[in-house]
Amino acid sequence: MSMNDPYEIEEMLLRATIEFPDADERACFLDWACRGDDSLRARMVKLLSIQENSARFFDFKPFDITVENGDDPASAVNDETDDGEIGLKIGRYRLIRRLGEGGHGVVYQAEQETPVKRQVALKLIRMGLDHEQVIARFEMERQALAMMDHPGIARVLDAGATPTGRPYFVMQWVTGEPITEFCDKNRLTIRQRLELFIRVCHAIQHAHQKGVIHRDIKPSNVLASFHDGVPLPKVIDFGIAKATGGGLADPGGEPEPILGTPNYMSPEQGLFGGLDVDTRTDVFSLGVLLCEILTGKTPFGPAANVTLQTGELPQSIAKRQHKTPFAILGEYPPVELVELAATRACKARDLIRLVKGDLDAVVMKCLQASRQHRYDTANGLALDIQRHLDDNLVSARPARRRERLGKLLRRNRLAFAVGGVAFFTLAAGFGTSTWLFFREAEARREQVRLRSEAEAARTVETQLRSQAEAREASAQAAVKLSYGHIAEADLLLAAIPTDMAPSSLEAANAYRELGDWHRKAGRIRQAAERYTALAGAISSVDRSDVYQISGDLLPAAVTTCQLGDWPSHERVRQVALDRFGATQNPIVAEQIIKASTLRSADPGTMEKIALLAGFLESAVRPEYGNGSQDDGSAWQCYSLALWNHRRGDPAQVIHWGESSLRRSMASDSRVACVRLLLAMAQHRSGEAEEARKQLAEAARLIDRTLELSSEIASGKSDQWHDWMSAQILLKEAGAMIGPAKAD
Amino acid sequence: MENSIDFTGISGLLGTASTGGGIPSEELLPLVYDELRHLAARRMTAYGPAASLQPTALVHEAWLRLAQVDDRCWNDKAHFFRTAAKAMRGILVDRARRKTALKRGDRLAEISIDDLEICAAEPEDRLLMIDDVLDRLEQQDEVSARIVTLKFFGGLTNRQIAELHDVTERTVERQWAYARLKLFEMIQDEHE
Repeated sequence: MSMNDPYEIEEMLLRATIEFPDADERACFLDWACRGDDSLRARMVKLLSIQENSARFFDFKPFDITVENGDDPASAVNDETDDGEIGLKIGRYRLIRRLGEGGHGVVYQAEQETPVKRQVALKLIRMGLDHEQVIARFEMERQALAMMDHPGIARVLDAGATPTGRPYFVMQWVTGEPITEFCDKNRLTIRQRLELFIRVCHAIQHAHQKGVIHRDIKPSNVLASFHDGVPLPKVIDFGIAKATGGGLADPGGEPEPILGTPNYMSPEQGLFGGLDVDTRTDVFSLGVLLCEILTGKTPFGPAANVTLQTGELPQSIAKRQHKTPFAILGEYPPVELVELAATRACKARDLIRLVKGDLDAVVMKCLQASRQHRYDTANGLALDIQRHLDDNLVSARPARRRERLGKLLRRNRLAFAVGGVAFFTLAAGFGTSTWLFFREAEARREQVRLRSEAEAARTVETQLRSQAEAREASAQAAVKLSYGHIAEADLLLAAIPTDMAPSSLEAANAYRELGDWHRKAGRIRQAAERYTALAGAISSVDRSDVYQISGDLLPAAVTTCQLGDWPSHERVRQVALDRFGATQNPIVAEQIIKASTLRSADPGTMEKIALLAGFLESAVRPEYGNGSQDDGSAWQCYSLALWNHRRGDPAQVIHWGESSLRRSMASDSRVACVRLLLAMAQHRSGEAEEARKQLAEAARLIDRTLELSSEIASGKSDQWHDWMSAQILLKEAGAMIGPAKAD
Repeated sequence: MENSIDFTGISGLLGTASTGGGIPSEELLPLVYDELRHLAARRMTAYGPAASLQPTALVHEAWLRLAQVDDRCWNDKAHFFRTAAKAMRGILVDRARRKTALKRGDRLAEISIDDLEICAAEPEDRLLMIDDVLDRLEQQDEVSARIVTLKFFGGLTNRQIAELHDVTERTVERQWAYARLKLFEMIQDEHE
C-alpha cells in the first residue's frame, strides 16, 4: 500500500481530523490539510457528517438475527440509539429533540409545519416484527382515541408509518413532569396530592367512557404542571400500549420482550397474554401510582426498570408481594422518613397518621388481585378519595363506617324523612290504580324471568359477555350519577335484568341512589326493582358481617312486600337468609328478621329464621329497668315480637312487644308496629277490646305521621321502610281485627 | 464480545499447522465442536437455554459449508478465518433474505430510504444493504472489505484480527471505523 492510495490518504486525514474535538478546530485543520483541493475537503466534511450514523448503522449483531419465531432476546433490544435522527423529517413533522425512550420506542419533540405550525410529541415505535399489525391495531383504536376530549388527556393527533413501515404516533405537546417528581419537587401536601390524583382519575374515567383503556399508567405517563397556580395532570400515551402491545396482546404473534416495570401492571395483564383486560386494569395501576405518590414507593418496592420476556411476566407478577402504604412508611429509616415527610410539607408522625386507615384501605382496594373487588371505575376511586377528603365514609373501609354511622344518620335523617312523606302522600293518591299496576308488574316480571331463563340456556360466553356489559352499564351509570344525570343513569340500570346486577359496591351505590330517587317520586315499582338489584349486588360483593350491608336488604324486602310482588319478595328473603343466616351481630339479626317476617313463610324458611331469632334472644341485653331509654335493644325486641307473631305465639309477642315499649318510645314507627303486633296477639288471645284499642292507637300514629309532615321533618321519624312496614302490618291487622276506628 | 465466535482453540492448532504445510478438515472438526460447546454453555448462562441455539446452529452450518469441499487443507490461520468468515457471511445473508421474504415478500429494493430510515431499518435489512455494497468496496479498498468480513460477518474480535494481520488492536479499530464509514456512504449513495 502506498501513500498514493486515495483511500489511505482519506483514512489518515479522517483519523487526524477526528482527533480535534472542537468543530472549529476541525474546520481549521481541514482548511490547512486540503488546501488547493476543494473536492477532498468536501469529501472529508461529508465523511465526518455521516460518522455517527455509520456507527449506528453497524450497531447490531448479525448473529442475533433470527428467522424462526424469535426466541433470542437480544434481537429486539440491542439496536436503536437514535440520536442522529434530530432534524430529520417524518411526514409533516420535523424532529427537534429526543425526549426519552420507553418500552415501545423513542419519543421526540417535533414540529408540525402544515397546516398549522405547532409543537408535538412524536413517538417512533421500536421496530418489532409485527409493525403492520401495530398499524392495523392502531387504526382500530384511532376512532376511539379521536373521541377523547378531556383537559387531563393529551390528544393523539396523528399516526402513520415511515416509508420503511416504522410506525409513529403524534401526540399533543405536553409540558410537565412525571407526577411523582412534580409532587415531591413542589412539596405538595397529602391533600394537594390527593386532589391532583382525583383529576387523574377523572381523565382516566373519561377515556374509559369512550372505551379506551390506558394499560400503561405509570408516573412517566402522567405528567403534571401548574396552571394558574393549580396543579393539573395530563395523561399521555393513551391507547398506545394497546396498539403496540406486540406479543402481549397477540399471543399468536412473535413474543417480544417487555421493557419497563411490571410494578404498575395488574395481574390479569400478565395472564392470558393480556387479552382479558378491562377498565379495572387501569384502576389497579392507579392504585400503585397513588401509593407511590403518597409514600414514595410502589407497593412492590422501588420502581426498577427491568426487561422481561413475555413468558416471565406472569411469574414475576404472581411472585410479587405487595405492602400497604402504611407498612411502606413503617419501613423507612427514621431519617429518610423525616425527609419524605418534609417533601409532603408535614411531620413524619403526621404523614403516618394521614396515610393510615382510609388511604391505606383505598390503595389496597385498588390492588385486589381479583378485579371484582377493586373499584369498578376510576371514578369510584376518585369518589372514595373525595369522601376521605370531605371526612366522609370511604367504601373501601366498612369498619370505619360503623364508627361513624351515627353521624351519617344524623346528617341524613331529614332526607330520609322527607322521602318517606313524599312516598306516603303519593301512595295514598294511587288508590285503585295501584292494583292494576301490580298486575302489570307481574306480567313484566314473568317476561324478565323467561328472558333470564333463556339467557341461562345460552352459552357461557354469552353470559360472560352480558355480565361484562352489565358491569359496564353500571359503571357508566355511576358516572352519570356523579354528574347528576339521574334519569340517564336509571335508563342504563333499568336495562340490566335484576338478577344480573353486577356485584360491586359501586353498582350497589348506584342502585341504592336510584331506588331512593324513584321512591321519593312515588314510583314504588321501579324503586322495588332497584332495591332488589341492590340486594343482589351488595350481598355478594362484601362478605363482612356488618349491619350496613344487611340494612341494604331491607328496602327491597319492604317495597316488594308493599307491592305484593311475592316472587321478588321471596327471592330477597332467601338472599337475606342465605347471606346472614349465621350472623353473630345482633343488629344484623334484627334487620334480617325484620326483612324476612313481613309475611308468612314456609316451614324451611321458618327454621332458618328460628336460628336467627334464637341467637338474637340470647344476645339482647336485659332491660335497664330505671326508665332510661334503650332504643337499640327496643328494636331487637320488636323484631322478636314480629318473629313470634309469624310463628303464632301471642304470649311471646306480648312479652317482647311490651318489653320493646318499656325500653324506649323514641321511634314512632316502631311503637306503631309494636302496637299492631300487640293488637293482633290480643285479638288471638280473645282480648278483643284491648286489640281494638291498640289498633286504633297505632292507626292514629300512622295517620298523624302522614298528616303532620313537620313532625317527621323535625327528626323524630325513623327510616322510611319502618313506616312502610307499619303500613303493611296495619293492613294485616285491619284484615284480622276489622278496620281501625278512631275513638 | 458476547456474540463473537471464539476460535482460539482452533487457531492454536492452525498456528502449528501453518508451519507444517496444512491441516485437513476432518481434524478440525472435533476442535470446532469443543468450541461450540463452550460457546453454547456461555450463552446459556447469559440468556437461558433457548438463546444458545442460534449461534450454535449458525457455526454448525458454517462448518458444514467449509467441510463441503473434500480434502481441503488450510495454509494458515488467516486463510481459515477468512474462508470461515466468508461462509458465515453467506449464511447470515441467506437468513436475512429468508426473514425479509417471510415478512414482506421481498420488496426491500423498491423502498426509497432516507438517512433516518437507513439507521432505523431492521437488522436483517441493514445486513442485506451491507452485503449489497461489500463486493464493490472490495474492489476499491481491499483492507476495509476484509475487516468488515472478519469482524462483522465472522464475529472475530479486534484482538483476533490484530493477531491475524500482525497489527495493533487500535489499528484494527481505526480500520473498522473507516470501513463502516465507507460502506455507509456507499449505501447512502445507493439509496438516494
